[in-house]
Amino acid sequence: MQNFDQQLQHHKEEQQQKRYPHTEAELDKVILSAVQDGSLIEHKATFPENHKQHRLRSAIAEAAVLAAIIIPSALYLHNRQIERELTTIDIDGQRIIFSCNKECDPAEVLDNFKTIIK
Amino acid sequence: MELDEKTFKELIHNHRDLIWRICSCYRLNAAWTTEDAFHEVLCNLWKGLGSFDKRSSERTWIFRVATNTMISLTRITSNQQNAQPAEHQEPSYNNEPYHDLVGMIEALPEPNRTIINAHIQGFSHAEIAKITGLTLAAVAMRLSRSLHKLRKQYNSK
Repeated sequence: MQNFDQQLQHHKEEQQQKRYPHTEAELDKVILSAVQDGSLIEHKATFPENHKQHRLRSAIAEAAVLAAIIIPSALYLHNRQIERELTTIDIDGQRIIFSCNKECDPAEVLDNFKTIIK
Repeated sequence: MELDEKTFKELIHNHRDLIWRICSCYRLNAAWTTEDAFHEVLCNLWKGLGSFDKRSSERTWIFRVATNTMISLTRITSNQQNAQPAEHQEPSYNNEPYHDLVGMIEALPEPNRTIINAHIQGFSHAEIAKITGLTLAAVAMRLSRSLHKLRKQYNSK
């Protein structure tokens, strides 16, 4: 077994060798998504804070914001992560596409969304 | 700094490894991947870019924003069960002594944990002082005490 100093040094070296594991193109997508989301988050103030799931709240809030405030035609592709499942909903004939966590139930997302925008 | 997508893109490309490392050393709820945390950090960096006045280095500022984001995410997810290491698939994490050390660092109270993490990432005492808002003397004292505590815990195993 290594002593403490050896372990700490090992940990430092491991940390400093760790690299972002995805490609440049994937990083560009994440950056673009963060710029979009970082701008949208400013509009979330009116969204209820007590929702049970932060990630779900985030997805719903962004869709709600887009529907209510930003884009009248409400066609939006939220490209948060490549692996995210996309959910499409129709509100008054206007299509909104947004992504949500893979663990989220799209039906629950839709129910919550409808409640919020009533 | 001007809110400029090109500037932001360059900034993230230059410091992506550091951001990834910070994201991967915090335990979050199983629903959160390191990619999710990385994205959240980028959102906060973008939001904070306008107020970054370059009194500290880009690296120092990024470390501070990323660490604050991860502390906040840890609090948000701490009430939920099934917490797993954000990068539980990393083989080295299964190495027993290494795992012990990582666990001991995780258990340190703030800001000592941040100070140790910054030390491990190679930040100087002066940079850690800027990150934490503490004086140089306070950083040196907390770092020394935290290392002493870790060493004592490690040796008692």
